[in-house]
Amino acid sequence: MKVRVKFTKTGPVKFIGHLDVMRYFQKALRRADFSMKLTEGFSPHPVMSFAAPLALGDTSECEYMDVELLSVTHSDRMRDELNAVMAEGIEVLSVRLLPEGAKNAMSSTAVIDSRVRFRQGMEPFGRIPGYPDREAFFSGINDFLLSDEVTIVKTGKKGEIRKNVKPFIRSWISETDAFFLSADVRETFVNPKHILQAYASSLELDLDPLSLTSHRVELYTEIDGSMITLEDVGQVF
Amino acid sequence: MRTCALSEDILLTVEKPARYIGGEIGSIDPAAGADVRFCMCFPDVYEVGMSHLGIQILYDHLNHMPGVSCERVYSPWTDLDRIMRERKIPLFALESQRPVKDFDFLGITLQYEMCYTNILQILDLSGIPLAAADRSLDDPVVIGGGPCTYNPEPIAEFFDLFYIGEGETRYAALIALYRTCRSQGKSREEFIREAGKLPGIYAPGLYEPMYHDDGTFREMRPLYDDVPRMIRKEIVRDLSGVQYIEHPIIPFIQTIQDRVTLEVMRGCIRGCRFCQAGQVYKPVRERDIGYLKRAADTLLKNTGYDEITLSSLSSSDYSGLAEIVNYLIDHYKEKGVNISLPSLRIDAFSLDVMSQVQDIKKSSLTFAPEAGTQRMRNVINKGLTEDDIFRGSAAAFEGGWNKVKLYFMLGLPGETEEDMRGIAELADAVADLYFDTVPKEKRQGKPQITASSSFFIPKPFTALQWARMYPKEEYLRRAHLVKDAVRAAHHTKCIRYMYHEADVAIIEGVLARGDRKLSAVIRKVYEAGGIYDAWREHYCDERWMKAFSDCGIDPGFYIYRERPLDEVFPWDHLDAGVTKEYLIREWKQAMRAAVTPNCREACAGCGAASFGCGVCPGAAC
Repeated sequence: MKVRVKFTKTGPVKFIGHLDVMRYFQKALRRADFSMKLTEGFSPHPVMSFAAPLALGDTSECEYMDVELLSVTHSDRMRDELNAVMAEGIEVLSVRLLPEGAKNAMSSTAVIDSRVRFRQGMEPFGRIPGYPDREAFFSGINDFLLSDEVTIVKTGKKGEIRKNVKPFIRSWISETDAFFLSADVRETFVNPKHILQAYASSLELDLDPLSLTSHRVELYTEIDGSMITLEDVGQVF
Repeated sequence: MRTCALSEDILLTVEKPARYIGGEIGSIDPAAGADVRFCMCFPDVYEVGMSHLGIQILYDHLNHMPGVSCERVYSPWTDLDRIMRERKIPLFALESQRPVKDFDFLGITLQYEMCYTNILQILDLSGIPLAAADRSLDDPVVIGGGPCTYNPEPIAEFFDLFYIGEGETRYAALIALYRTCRSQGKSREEFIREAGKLPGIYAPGLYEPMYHDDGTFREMRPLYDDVPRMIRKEIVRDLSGVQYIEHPIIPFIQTIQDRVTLEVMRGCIRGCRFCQAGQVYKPVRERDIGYLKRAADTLLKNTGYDEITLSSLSSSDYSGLAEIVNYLIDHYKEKGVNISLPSLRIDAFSLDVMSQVQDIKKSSLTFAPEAGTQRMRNVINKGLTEDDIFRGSAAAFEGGWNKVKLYFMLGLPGETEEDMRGIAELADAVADLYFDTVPKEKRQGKPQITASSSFFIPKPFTALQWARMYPKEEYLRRAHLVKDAVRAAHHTKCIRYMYHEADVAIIEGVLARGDRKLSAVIRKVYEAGGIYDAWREHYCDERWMKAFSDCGIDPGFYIYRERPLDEVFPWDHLDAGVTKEYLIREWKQAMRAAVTPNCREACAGCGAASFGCGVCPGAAC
């Protein structure tokens, strides 16, 4: 049987990379004494799947991990058992049982809601010449995103890739000090930081990519035409 | 939520920022009130330092003391080092992220000589004066421990105190003394003077080294009448009587030793004449089997690791090895826990164990003959015979292994070209054995024999502490001679030969048996930008050579002469438990290529029996 664990990643642990979070959970599951199904062979390891990797330095309140277990008790009890062995900043929010045949967290993620803001002490307002004030900057995003094309520039292994991501933007909110984006990530991974950078360069402003931080709010999958959270795919037990 | 000492832009710029954030499972919450704050340092990068068992033991030990909190610090990697200097960011401890300078104690473990410049990096980045003599009451008491304290003279200038021996015994007394001195408003000097009287504590500033005109050491003169002339090492007499770590710190990032480490015993019965650990950790003291089983259960449960390693200098000599290994297999194999057994002699038992816990196709077997001929192995008292190696290899080949690693040393006393060629010949004979042992239809390709050699470095408190070293060119000549012999070997295609760097060996040799005059050299190297000398890519031979010449010190003086038996050594005021008379006997035995039986076969009268414990005759526990 497969359970889905929803957890947060906030505070200093945001500087732990994706692979290390996977290793962390391998040990945490053992500490919590969960009976895991192990792979065969000389180095047996638990069967785990993580949803879309979070960039180093970004935070989240909706990380997901699927793991195959041999037995389960109760959702709340297992959540509490995991929380008893967690490090600061990683809090387990729920443990749910996945229905037979459910797609894993990695492949089923369709939509990511996230919020981008400037890191503390790295806001350009009043610091970098040419920038409007904070409110004007964020409210200006509306006009930028209303156009038919929103071209972002990604630097990948093959050099610069330009892509119109407008079709994948489901909704956005320009907040007083942040930018909230709901994006469809099935065809291409839409990084809200790239959109802010594209916006800044449309204003001919330099934007240090390190100055932005993204906070994931929720992940959704599409089932029978409607978007439900990855958490809700599983059932309380 | 904890906040980091480093700003986000720095953490996002440096390699592996998780090195600097703390907060690992098993690390303490520094918020709890403590009146004495200890910062424990391993002066190398996080992944190396976090792999060290000793610090985990002391961290646990100190944090169990009422009113004491212990935190950790490691060397910032070169990328962060540069940023910290540029932006004048003080070095901080991982747990509280507070400056190291604000602590009461800074404990630095001294595991290898090539980390000495990193000690200065730690002090400098912390804003602590490099020289102990320049420190004030506001600075932490800087105390060193670990194997290099058996000759701490080259770094004596930088330390207030050295702890000689095993840390579990005297820290409580030292901290109690510190509290008393603080409450009585005593000065830093007064505290250090009192601390220097505690057993096992060496306060180098209370002694003045005296030299002969030719530069050799004359005596270590105490500056005051009440300062002990000899400082005797501390040991834990009953290892089953001290609590083992229950909640080791589990790093977020992968470290060198990323597993549960269970220390089964301390010391070694073998008495290899080149080995410092074998002498200074005497006598052999085993942990009770029941203790180990309980500790293994607790550690695996509390950490969630899927691997456990049994640690000691020679695990095969632990008398309950079969029982503890079988216990671990019976209880944990099903749960996917891997068991690793370093420092194991290769025999039927160990091969059986390894075939159960390892993937034969991927793993290799390691032998440490240390020398190529039996004569040379007798010189160094390495009990392993050619027969042992052949029998072990044959059994291994039959068991399905085809990778064998062989470790050697070059430059041992009295080494002849025959001994050097012997390395290639031994490797060749092992390869030959594969073709003899494994029938054609069962062979999985050819055997892969890896022979590697390091250059022998004489260390204090070993039987070979009188031996000389050789210039770099001579070392390279010897390595090339072996290389040529490997090339000419019958099975040359099955043998890979590697040798260590010769220039680093020379510096390590100088520091290992050096005196207090070398503090100036180490400081010069550091001031010229030298850190991470233990890392090949950061080691710079010219920097060291220039520092020697700037200080007017000839490094050859320390290493290129065989020292006379009546020479006084800069470490003779330290008592490691083994007497100089015994070491002289052993040196003479070595010169005759005569073997000395191990501690279980016969007592060699080394002096460690005076501790009254362990394997020694007449031991009380």
